[in-house]
Amino acid sequence: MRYDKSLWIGLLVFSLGLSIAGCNLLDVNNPNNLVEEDLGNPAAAEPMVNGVEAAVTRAVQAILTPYSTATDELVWVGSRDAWQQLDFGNVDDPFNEFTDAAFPYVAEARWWADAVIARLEEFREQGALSNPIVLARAYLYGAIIYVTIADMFDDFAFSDRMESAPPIGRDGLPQVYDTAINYLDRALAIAEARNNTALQGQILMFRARAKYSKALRAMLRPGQVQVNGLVNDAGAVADAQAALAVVDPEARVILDMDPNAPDLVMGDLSLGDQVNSRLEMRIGDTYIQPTPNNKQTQAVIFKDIIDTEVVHPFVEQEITAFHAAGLYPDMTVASEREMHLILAEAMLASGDVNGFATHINHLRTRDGLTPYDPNSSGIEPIEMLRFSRQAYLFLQGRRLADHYRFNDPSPEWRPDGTAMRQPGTFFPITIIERRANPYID
Amino acid sequence: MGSGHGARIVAALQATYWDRTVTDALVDKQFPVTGGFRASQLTNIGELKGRGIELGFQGTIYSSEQFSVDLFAGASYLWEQVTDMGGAPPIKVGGSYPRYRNFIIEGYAPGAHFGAKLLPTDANHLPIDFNGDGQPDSRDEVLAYLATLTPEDLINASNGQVNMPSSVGLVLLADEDGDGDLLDHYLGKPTPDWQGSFGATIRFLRNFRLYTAFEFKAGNYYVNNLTFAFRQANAVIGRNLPWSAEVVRDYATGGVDANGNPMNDPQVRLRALERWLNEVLALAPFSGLNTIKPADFLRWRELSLTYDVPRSQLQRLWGIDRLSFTLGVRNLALWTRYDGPDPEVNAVGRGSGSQLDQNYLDGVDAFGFVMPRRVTFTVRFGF
Repeated sequence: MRYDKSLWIGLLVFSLGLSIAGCNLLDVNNPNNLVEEDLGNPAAAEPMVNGVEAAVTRAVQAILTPYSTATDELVWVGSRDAWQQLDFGNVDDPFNEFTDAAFPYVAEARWWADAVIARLEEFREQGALSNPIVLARAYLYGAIIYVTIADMFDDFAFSDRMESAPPIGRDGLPQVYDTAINYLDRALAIAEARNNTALQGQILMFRARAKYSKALRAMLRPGQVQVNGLVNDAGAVADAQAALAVVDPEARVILDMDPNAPDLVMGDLSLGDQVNSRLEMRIGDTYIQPTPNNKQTQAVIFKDIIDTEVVHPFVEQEITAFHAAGLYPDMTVASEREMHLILAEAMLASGDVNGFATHINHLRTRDGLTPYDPNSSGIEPIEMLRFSRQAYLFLQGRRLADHYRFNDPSPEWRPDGTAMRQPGTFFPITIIERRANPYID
Repeated sequence: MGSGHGARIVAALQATYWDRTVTDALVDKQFPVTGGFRASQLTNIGELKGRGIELGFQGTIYSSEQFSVDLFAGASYLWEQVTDMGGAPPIKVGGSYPRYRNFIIEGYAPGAHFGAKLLPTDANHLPIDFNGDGQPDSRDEVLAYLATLTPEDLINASNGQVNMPSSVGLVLLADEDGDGDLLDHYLGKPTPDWQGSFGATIRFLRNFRLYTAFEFKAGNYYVNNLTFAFRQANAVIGRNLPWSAEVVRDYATGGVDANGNPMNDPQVRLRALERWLNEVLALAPFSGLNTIKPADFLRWRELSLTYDVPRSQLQRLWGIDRLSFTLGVRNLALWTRYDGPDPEVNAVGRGSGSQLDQNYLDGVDAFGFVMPRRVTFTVRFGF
C-alpha cells in the first residue's frame, strides 16, 4: 500500500505541474528583450537620440583615423602597412583595411540618424514628443554624419536595411550637404522656438561649417582642384556671424568621448587607441619632435608663421590635450575659432584684406601671438589663411581638403600615390559595400 | 596470407569512398552596410559538396621470433566546393585584415586563397606604368626612365628608405573578370588534394624496435607565406631577407662598385625591378601577390629506436613487469618546394568554436615558429 500511495502522490504533483504549464504561468516576458516595436514608444525618443550621438561619435572617430593618417597630421610608425598606404596618399583604395573597417560605422550612423529622425518627427506629428529638443539634437547629429560623408568620401550609397541603393557618385555630394543643412534648419527652428541659446549656437556653428564645406568641396574633384580657391558663401558667412553673436570664445561643437562608454572605442580604428595606446601612428613630423623610439611625442615643434621662434600655443594645447585623453579624445566638429576662419576667408575672397586680418587677429591675439599685418609682415594673406586653418583646425578632419586646395602636399605622400597623381581624391565606397551592393560593380 | 620457414605475412587494405552534400548551410550573409547594419546575418542558404577517398594499408610482411617488419600507409583524397551561397556576397575569412586571403566563394573550395596578380604582359613589356598612360611600359621605355634616376631620386632623405614602386598607380594588376576587384583572383586552396602518412616498424634482435613515419600533403596545396611577406616587402615592418635587401639596393643604386659606390646602371635597375615585381612586392595594396605559394611537402615525421627489456630479466621489483627505453627524433627532415619557413604552420589554432576563422583560416604561415626537431628519451614501465 505504501508503494501505491507514493505513486498517487507523484502523479498528483506531475498533473499539477502540467496544469500550471498549461495555464502559461511559466511563460514570462523577458524585460530585457527589446523588439523593434518598442522603438515606436515616444518614451524611447531620448534614448534613441543618445544612441544616434554614440553612433555618430563612433563613426566620426573611426573615419577620422584613416583620414588624418592620409594627411601630415599623423604618420604611421607601427606594423600594419595599410596605414602606410594612407600615409603615401593612396586614399582611393577600396580594399584598405582601415577605411574598409571604418566605412560600416559611418554607414550605420547615417542610417540610424535618419531612422531616429523619422521616428521622432512622427512622434511630434502625433503630439507625443514631450521634449522637442531631443529632435533638434537628432538633427544636429544627423547633419554631422552627413557632412562627414560629404567631406571625406567621393561616393556613397544610402540603402535602407536590405534594400540596396545605387551609389550617388561625386555629383551627388552637394545633395548630401543639402540634407545636412536641411536638418540644421529644422534643428535651429526648434532651438529658437524653445529659446535654447546654447543649442542655437551649436547649430549655427555647425551649419556655417556645413555651408562652407559644401562650397569648398565644389572646388575639389579628383584631378581637378581649384588651387588657392577661396570660399565666400553668403549662407556660411551669415551663420558664422550669427553664431559669434551667441557663443562664447572657445565654444566648440564636440563629439564627446567618455570613458564611461568604452564601446565607443574600436580597437583597430579609434584615434586615441591607435595613437596613444597601440602607437600605430604618431603626430606628424610637421608638428612634433618624436621620442627616441619614434613612437610618441617628445615635444611640439610647430612654430608660428610670424613669431617663428614660438611654438604655436593652440596646436600645442590641442596635442597635449589629445595625448592626455588617452583612449578618449573628444572630437571637435565646429568651433568659434572656425567661425572667424570662415569670415576671414570670405573677406579675403571679396578683397577685404584688412577685414581678413581682423578675424585672423581675433585668434592670434587670444593666443598671445603677434597680430598679422598684411602690409608689413611679408606674408601673403593666402599663406596666412592656409597656416591659420592648419593650426586652428588641427586634427578636425579638414586637412586633406586643405592639402589639395593650397597645393600643400603632405611630406609622406609619394609621387606615385593617388593624392599626388590625382589631387582632390577622397575615400571611395569600400569593398564591404561593393561586394554586397548589387548596384556597385 | 602465406607463411614459410616460421615467417608470417598478414596484410589488410581498406578503401572508403564518400560523397556528401551539405544543404541549408549557414552562410554569414553580409547585406549592404549602407542599409544601416554592420553585422552579417546567418542564413540557411548555402550548399557545399565534397567527396573523397580514404585508403589504408597495414601489414606484417615478415615475422619471425627474431625479426619482423610491419608496414603502414594511409592516404586520403579530398575534393570540396562551395556550390551555392544563396546570392550572398563572398565571405572573407579573418575580417577586414587583408593579409589573410581565405574566402568562401561559390565555385571554389572553402577557405581558398584569393588575391592580387600582376597584369600579364608579353616579354617586351612589364606590368609597370612609369609614363602614366595606364598601359604596361615597354622594356625600352622602362630602361629609358630608369636611366634618368639617381639614388637621390629614390632614397627618402628623411628616413633613408627607398621609394620602391608600391602603388597600384604604378604597378599594374590584373582584373581578369573585369569587375574592378583587383584582389579576387584565385591563388590556390589551403587544403591539399591528397594527404597521408606511411612508415614501418622493424623489430630485430628480438627486443629492438625501429619505428619510422613519414607524412605528406600534395596536390593543389597552397600556403600564404605571410612570414616572408613581412620580411621581404616593407622596410618599416621588418624587411630583412638578403635577396630582398639586394633587390632594393640594386634598384636604388643601379648596382654598386667594389667600394659601394652607385653605378646607376639602368640594366641593373631593370633586373631589380623585375625581381621586385615578381618575387618581392607583397602586402597592401597587393595582398596575395608573391605570397601564396605551392606547399606540397613530405616530412620525415619520426624515427625511434626502442629496447624492450625481456621479462625474464626483470626482477619484478616494485611489481614492474614491462620496461622499455626509447630514443626518438621527430621532424627529422622536410622535402618541399615551398619557400617559406614551414608549410605546416598556421596563424591560428583550431579552436572548439564554430566561427569562420576556426574553420577556414587555414594555410597561413605567420605568427608562429616552424616545427622544431625534437629528440626524446622515454622510459616506459608497467605494473
